[in-house]
Amino acid sequence: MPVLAYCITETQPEVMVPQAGVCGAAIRTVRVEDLQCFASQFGPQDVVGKAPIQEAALDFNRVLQDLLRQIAVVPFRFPTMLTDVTAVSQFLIEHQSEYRVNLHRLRNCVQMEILLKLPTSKQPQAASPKSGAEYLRGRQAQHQYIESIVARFREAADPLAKQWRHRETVAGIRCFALVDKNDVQVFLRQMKDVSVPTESEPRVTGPWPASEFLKEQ
Amino acid sequence: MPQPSEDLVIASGDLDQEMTLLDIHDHVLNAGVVIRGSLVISLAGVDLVFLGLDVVLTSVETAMRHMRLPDIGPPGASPKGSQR
Repeated sequence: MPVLAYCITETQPEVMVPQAGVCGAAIRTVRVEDLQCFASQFGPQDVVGKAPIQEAALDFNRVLQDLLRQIAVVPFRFPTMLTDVTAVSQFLIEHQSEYRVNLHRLRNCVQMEILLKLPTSKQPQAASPKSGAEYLRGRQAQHQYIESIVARFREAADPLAKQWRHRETVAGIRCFALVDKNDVQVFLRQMKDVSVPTESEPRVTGPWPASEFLKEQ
Repeated sequence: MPQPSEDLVIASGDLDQEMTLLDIHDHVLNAGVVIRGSLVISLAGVDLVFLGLDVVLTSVETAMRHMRLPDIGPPGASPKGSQR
């Protein structure tokens, strides 16, 4: 029977398994040595049409957050289904060294995010450039503007962030800080004190599983 | 003019603390381990890519952004079998 995979964790410390997963399904663990995968068994007919995908995604997130409060997790992208429990074991066996290293490195860590919107006035298409050089100058100014705002958050996060990454997306600039889970509230207070242009509409979210930090740069 | 970010939105913890559906969907659909495969099924009317015997499901939109998918069929296609 197909299984929906939530995440991978270490087997120690022991954690409380969430009582129900997506669509109220029972959650079980599949263990391989010192790693375990949390999963729920589904027939395709059990999932199709049973709940709106939004609700299923919320259920999935609730399971991840419940576990993240207790232990570091490597999440699967929702909805990841493997053909059966054996496939889960096989996947864990094949990738165990990679996940073992990551989970050890990310132990007690969570990911905090800061989304910064790029003000319309700073977007290169806002003013039609008359030449390529003008466009490039616009891009350079935009880049410097972004970097100056990101730098303020990074500086504020510096004492707490074990690692920091940021990248430009269609939604704006996304910054990711790897933070000790005990420092989350302090981190949020630090971010609150950052002075930035209001038009950047800073939005801080978290804690999340440290997906952005699964691979070391 | 820079000023203290009084408008900073802090979205942390449970959904009722301003963690929006968008935040959550963005994370669960776009972040995490991906396994590869090739098959389409529908979940609640949404076409999903059911990736092979080893298998991952993801939204078609997300999958298309990350990989080339030969022969996955049009949106609304009936679920296929699990054979490659």
